Amino acid sequence: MALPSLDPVIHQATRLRIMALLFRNRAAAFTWARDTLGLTDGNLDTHSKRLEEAGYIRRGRVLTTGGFQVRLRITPEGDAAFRAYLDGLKAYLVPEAADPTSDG
Amino acid sequence: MDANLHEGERLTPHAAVAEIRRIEGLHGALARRASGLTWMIWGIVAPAIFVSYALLGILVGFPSDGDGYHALRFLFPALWAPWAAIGLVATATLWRSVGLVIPRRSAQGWEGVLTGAIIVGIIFIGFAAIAVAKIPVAEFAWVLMAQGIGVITVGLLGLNCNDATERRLWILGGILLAAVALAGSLLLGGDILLARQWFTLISPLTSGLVLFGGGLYLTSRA
Repeated sequence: MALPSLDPVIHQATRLRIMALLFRNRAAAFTWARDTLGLTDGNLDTHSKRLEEAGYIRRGRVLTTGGFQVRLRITPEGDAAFRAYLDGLKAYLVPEAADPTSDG
Repeated sequence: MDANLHEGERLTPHAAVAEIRRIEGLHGALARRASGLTWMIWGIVAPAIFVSYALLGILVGFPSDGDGYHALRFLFPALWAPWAAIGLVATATLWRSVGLVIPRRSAQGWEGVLTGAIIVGIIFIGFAAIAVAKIPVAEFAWVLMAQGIGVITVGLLGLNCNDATERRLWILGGILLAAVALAGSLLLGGDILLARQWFTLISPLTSGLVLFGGGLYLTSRA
């Protein structure tokens, strides 16, 4: 059975964590996402830019009582892409696909 | 390439799944605890409704007795509503708070509304059928049975469930409620007055214990 290729934008440890967090939460403050995922500012900034370029998330500023806050929000395209990624992962995890000799 | 990107980092499908589960787990416990607290809220509201109706029944007499007019009779179809409203507001407030952290789960509020509609619908449809067929059933026994059937239905439909354990709890809780109602009705036979007296005690206690106890279990395992 041919295994589906996994979206390379999402299939990267840090971006996967960002997408999983936003898939669940829809939106998150940059600082909260950074602390929750245990990332550095630079790391989250770089990977979120990559996701934004792919159209999967949107970065914006909102005015809060504590000043401007950077927020990350998953887009409908990102939501669909993450769902497709999850479906792709399932194909790898069915027993026959888990054959370690397979070069898929 | 930016040093932060680490594009070459190898991620196996199993590692990806583990990573997603870890992120999900950050908030799964919160959702399960909130579900448990929701059960506990209704574990107080449901017995309160029974007790209110018991007091009204003492004051006014039950409609099925047909013993004349009383100014407070109009309360019978509506007395549950203020309690349900209190439960609804408490539940909505709880999930709005949870929604600050997990908006997706909180956005499933329609499942809670549907759950209420199913249970209330079964109760009223049953009352209409009992009135038409003139079946000698104690009112509180039917409400307990209807709660059980409603809770089982919700469990079978998979509404309001964070995981399989929660779904099993809905079904088990519903079976317990319905079984107590059925066993009590069978034991007390057709003596409607005796059944009414016993179910004034049995129904609030059973619904309180099942819902509050179920909620306590859900919060403790989260």
